[in-house]
Amino acid sequence: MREPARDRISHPSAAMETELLLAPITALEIVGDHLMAGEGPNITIYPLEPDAIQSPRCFKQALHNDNIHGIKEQQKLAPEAKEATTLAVFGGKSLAVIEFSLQNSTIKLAELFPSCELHDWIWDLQWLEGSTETPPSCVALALGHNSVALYDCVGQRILQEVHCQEKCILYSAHLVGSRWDSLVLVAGTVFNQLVIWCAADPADDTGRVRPRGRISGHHGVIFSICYLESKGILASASDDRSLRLWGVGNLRVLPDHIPCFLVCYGHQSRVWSVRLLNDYVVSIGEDSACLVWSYQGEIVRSFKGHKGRGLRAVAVHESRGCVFTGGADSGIRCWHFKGPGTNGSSLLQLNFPSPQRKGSPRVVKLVGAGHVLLATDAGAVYLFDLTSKAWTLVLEDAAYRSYSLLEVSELAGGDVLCAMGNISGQVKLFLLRHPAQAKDLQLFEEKVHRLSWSSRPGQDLHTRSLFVSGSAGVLLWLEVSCHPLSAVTVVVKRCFLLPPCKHRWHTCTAFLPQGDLLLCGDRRGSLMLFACRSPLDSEQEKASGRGDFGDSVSVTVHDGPGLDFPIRGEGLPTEGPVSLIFGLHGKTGVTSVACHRDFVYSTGRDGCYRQLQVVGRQLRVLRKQKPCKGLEWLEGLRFGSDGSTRVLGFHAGCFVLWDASSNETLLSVPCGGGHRSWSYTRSLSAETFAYVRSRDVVVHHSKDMPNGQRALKESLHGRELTCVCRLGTLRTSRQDLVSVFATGSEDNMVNILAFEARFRTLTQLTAIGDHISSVRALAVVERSSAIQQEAGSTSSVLFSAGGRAQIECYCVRLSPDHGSSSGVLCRLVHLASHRLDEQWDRMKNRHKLVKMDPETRYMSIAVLASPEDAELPGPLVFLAAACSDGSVRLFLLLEHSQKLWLVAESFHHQRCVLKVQGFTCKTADRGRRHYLASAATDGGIAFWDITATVDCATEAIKAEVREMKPLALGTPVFTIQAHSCGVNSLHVQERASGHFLVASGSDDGSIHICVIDVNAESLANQGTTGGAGIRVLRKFSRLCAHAAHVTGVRLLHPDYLLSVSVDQRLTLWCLGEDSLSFVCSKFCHVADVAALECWESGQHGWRSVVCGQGLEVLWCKV
Amino acid sequence: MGRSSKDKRDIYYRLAKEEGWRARSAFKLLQLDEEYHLFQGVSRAVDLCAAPGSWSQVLSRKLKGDGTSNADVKIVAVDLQAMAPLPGVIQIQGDITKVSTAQEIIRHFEGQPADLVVCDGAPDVTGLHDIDEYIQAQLLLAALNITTHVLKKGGTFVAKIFRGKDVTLLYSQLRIFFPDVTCAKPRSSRNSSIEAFVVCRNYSPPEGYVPNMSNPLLDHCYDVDFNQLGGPNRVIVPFLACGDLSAYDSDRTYPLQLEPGKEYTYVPPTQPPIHPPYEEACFLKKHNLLAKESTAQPQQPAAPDEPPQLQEEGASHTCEAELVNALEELST
Ligand SMILES: C[S@@+](CC[C@H](N)C(=O)[O-])C[C@H]1O[C@@H](n2cnc3c(N)ncnc32)[C@H](O)[C@@H]1O
Repeated sequence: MREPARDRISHPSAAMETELLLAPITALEIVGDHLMAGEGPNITIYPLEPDAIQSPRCFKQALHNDNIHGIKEQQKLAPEAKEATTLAVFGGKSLAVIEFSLQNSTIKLAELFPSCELHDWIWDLQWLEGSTETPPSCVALALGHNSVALYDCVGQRILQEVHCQEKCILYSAHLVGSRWDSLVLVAGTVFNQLVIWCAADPADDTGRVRPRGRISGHHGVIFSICYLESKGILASASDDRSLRLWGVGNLRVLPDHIPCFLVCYGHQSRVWSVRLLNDYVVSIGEDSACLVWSYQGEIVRSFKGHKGRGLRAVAVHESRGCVFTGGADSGIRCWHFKGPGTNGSSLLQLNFPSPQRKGSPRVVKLVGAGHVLLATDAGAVYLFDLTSKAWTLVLEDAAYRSYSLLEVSELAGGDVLCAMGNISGQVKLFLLRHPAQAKDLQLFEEKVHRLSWSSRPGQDLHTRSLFVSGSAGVLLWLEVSCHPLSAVTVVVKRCFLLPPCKHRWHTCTAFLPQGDLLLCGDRRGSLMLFACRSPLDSEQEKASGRGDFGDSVSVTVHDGPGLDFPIRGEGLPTEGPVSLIFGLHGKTGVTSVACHRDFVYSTGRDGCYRQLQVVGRQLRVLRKQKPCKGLEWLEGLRFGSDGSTRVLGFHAGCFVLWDASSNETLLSVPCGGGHRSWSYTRSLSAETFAYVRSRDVVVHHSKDMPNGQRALKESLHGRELTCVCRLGTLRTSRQDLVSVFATGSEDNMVNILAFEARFRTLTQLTAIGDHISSVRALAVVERSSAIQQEAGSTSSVLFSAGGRAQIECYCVRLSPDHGSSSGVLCRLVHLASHRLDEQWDRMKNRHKLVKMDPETRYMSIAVLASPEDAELPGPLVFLAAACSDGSVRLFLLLEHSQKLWLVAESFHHQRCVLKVQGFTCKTADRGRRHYLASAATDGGIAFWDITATVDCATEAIKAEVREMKPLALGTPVFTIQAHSCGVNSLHVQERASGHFLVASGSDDGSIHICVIDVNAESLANQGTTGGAGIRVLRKFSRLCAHAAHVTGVRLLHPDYLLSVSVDQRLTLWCLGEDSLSFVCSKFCHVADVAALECWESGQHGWRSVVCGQGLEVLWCKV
Repeated sequence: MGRSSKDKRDIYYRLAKEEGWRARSAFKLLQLDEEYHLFQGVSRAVDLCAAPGSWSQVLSRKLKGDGTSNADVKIVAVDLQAMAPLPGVIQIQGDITKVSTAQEIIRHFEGQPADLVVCDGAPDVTGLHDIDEYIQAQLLLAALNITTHVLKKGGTFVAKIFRGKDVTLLYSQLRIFFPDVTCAKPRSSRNSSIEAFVVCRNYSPPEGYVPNMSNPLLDHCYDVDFNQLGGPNRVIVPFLACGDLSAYDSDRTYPLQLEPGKEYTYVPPTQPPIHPPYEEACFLKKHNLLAKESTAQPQQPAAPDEPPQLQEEGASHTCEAELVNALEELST
């Protein structure tokens, strides 16, 4: 993409260029078989065909510095010129005309008439047919102050502008008609009225046109208007959160009274846009919902899937039955709203209760996609065929009355192995094909608490492992084989013992891929590993004993461990876990365990799933993930071959299938909650969910993609981005350079993104959702080992901090990856968390007066270059935080105990501290001195010598002190009044001269530079009395550097400074002795710019990332 | 989180309630006055975009002094929204960008021009910055247009401004009418907020300028040849931070107990909005009357897609909370 020359260069030797822009999607339009999307000033084309390659085919910057709000295709009179079509692209005060052509399936976008600027805002545009008065290629424009302009695209000028008598600003406008003499404008005003008037009506003596009609009824500003001529219906959407349909008939011949025949309240928030179709009405809103309404005012479908706050654009292809939505999250999605019922899903009640059938359903299991197996409280087991809708009695056993467990496992070849357990310690095993040959084993004297099937890697296809929990934590492992021609064989493999607790039984099991360890979760929320093979194993497997299993004789039972059945009491040859994480998922229990790739996963009823690793036969938690708020019971994970992760769980009374990769609900069945028995399977593209409800079984079956949706473009963040921080640059196996950076947002997320410079693509590597409030600051320190560097990978420690006084810390490893589309593999390990309120709770009892407010927001954080110490295993990592409660806090990362320790704090500023930076200098005696610069809302910057504090903490670590009251950080060495109000950006850089440069930018639009001298030699002589050796050499300001907050400043080697502001300018300055001189500036397309990150890329070149309401990657070269 | 959490997070919101102001914006005008002595010699003032009325409260207190009725004092307050009555303040409900509203205001000052025009107008923020900034600029220009009709020569005009991408165009427009234009930010406005106030003093319209109601002032355009868009020639007016540095910091989180020995008590908002646009929608939501998806298709759970901010606020995002929040929304 090339920028127009005029806003690219103003200095002969400097250039800035946008490489990538992600912004809210503000326009969508369907043109033929393609979707055109407006994102910032850019237009991108996507194929409508779902099978076509997902990546956009073509892209072009259409406007200069305005965002696209509308795209309109010129209707062709003669259809022969089919391969090319003309589009008007408009937004703000700008308008451009573009030709879109398709030749041999390559798309071309060519500028017909370049972007030009008008005197007022363009709300709507309509192509006009040529006539005697209107030359060809004319458009009508609805302008900001309720006027209509006739604009000649060829001559690039307004031929005529007509004003309405009702002169006011508009929030929306809709033009109807394709000829100037019959053109009607429906204008949406701030005083809640729709004003209808015709451009060609005679003007009054002041040259204004009288409205033909007015429509009142809304209680708020009108945001969107749509007219459907075939039905004579006008629709309006408003701030009052309703949409209304009006029977206007012919707009040019309005009735005296315009009836409102439908008022639709359905959105949870304001309604941004409305579209009328032949059979439906579609609306989108601030609640991120897209609603499809019938003309009776019923919601036929509702779509949710975009992140965060609001959809901004919608386009509908009625004959294909799909809606396209564009979000403030910069994502584009496609949804299908047609089809039988809704998206081919059906709800089937099996009508179990009948005089012929015994009992009422207790346990339900889906067998394949076609059958439902059912155990009743009368001890009967039934099978239901979903195709023939017939019931079969499988077996009946009074011993399984009132309490029974049922678990099934499908074998190769379609055989289904079933296990049942009862209150008196029996287990029944049978093949569904031969229920008559069921085998009963008297395993325990008391209740069987739990059964679970697992298949062991390397086990033959007809063998499964069954785990049975008895009382007192006994977990029995049976190997059950059923070869087609022989009888069922059971081998007792081992007897494990679960950790002591109240509800002492297992809930789920899985073998690790090597088959040597069993992963097990229990009712107490603990996760553990059991050894499957002991040194004696091979011996034992051969030797087999025979147990006494009561009356069943035909079962061959090989008893490895030499147990007496039924198992009772103590003194059993049982084995405890080799690794245990007690209570990981809390008291509500672990619900599933799974192995995927090199990781172990567990889900629990604590609303979280965890990723773990097994290192040296020990479990280690890497990350905890909470897929979505409200999904309090997680029941399992399903890993797709495409890398997707789906979460099964319960949200209040609904069973939910949640896509953790795209963050959306794929399926939601109101079944009444997770306490009942349920079963879920997925085959090819069908989802089946069965559950017990009111003495019956209900089966929910859905074909096709759930919800029928598809993402054409992935989302970035749901709300504004607040911070950005680079993690590293890697060379992929394809020799492309990929820069990886993290972004934090008000949507409580941190995203890790990879930017590939050659193709200018951005890929999300992973997302972190551990924050409970907005993320405001990020900081990183690299820690790659020599080996890693050699292999072209990096390792760093990433900190994120934000609202509710929360800090999270991770280790991020990046390495080249051939397989993935980004070319980079990102592995994340959670290292530590800190919450002030937790610290507060702990301290409260002991020290009465701790001034810590859990509502505190961390505004900025900085990592301190870690001092090396021969007595410590690794470098220590300190983190300084600027806090909204007026304090500066210093933390230390204790990696081994996975903690952040609050080392020291000071309330010196007494106002909200906005920024913090750290710097270190070496002293003559090879020691180091550590400094902090902190800046607050009053424009002051304080400089701290924290050497003594750092030393003190280091000593405490060496002395292995467990807990310590936070130290006082004392008072700063000196303070400078750099700005008249809040400091929004701060950067410290060491110069070759040994001096430090401190650059800051403020809310007042100024940039301040201060040169600091740290005389390390004199310090060394003075011992530890800090401060004396640091002083200000020079300082100067550049007032009015920007027209708004300077939210980013970066000092660049050798003598440049890059600044960015809410005024949407990125400016390069040359740093002089006592002044900043302007080099060049570029308009950036990200609104509400909050942060800037820069790094060197090539000689005298820098890559920078600007974020705010979107994200822009720029390249700047001197 | 209870209702006090807002009090913790926004000190001026809390102080406004405790001191009986209808909105926290009152402090902004008070702090502007500290710096500019806006009310000196002022007895006739216009308050544009006045609802819920805290600026009118300030004007009324400042111009009338303590109770002694001053016959010369005239305060006209205008807003789209209905406003609870305030003694001695003439109220007009209407759109300030509309000619008829402007004419009604002008009628009040025929023969006797105003000494001060203030405008705290903010659009119905859509979240799309370009639109919000454009509409805010139009409110400012509409206010300026009314000002040219009612303000005496040498008078003062104070208006809210969003410092966005095109703010410099507004500065150059204002400079035509006022030789002295500064951009001021009261300390009670949040650091992160893009709002500031232009204080335009010594009204001196260009020679021979005839105020014209029917042709609204439009914002300027960038002079392409002058390279104003990306170049160094943008008009940036001086900036001034207003209010005592010892005043409360709007960005700081304060404990509920501000002073030792002074117990915190929750104070409800002084004047909740009258018939806000979302009133009916809130009523329907509260009584579970919003339309729902009507087919066999199971309902979407409400929360998984809820914006995170709401999650943080907890499930108590009820209508009452919303009404209370509206107060702050008006004065962010
Ligand atoms: C921030 S509030 C003003 C608060 C007020 N100064 C106070 O202290 O109570 C902004 C007001 O601008 C009003 N407003 C927005 N657009 C308007 C318009 N076109 N005409 C009149 N008032 C408008 C809104 O109704 C809203 O009450």
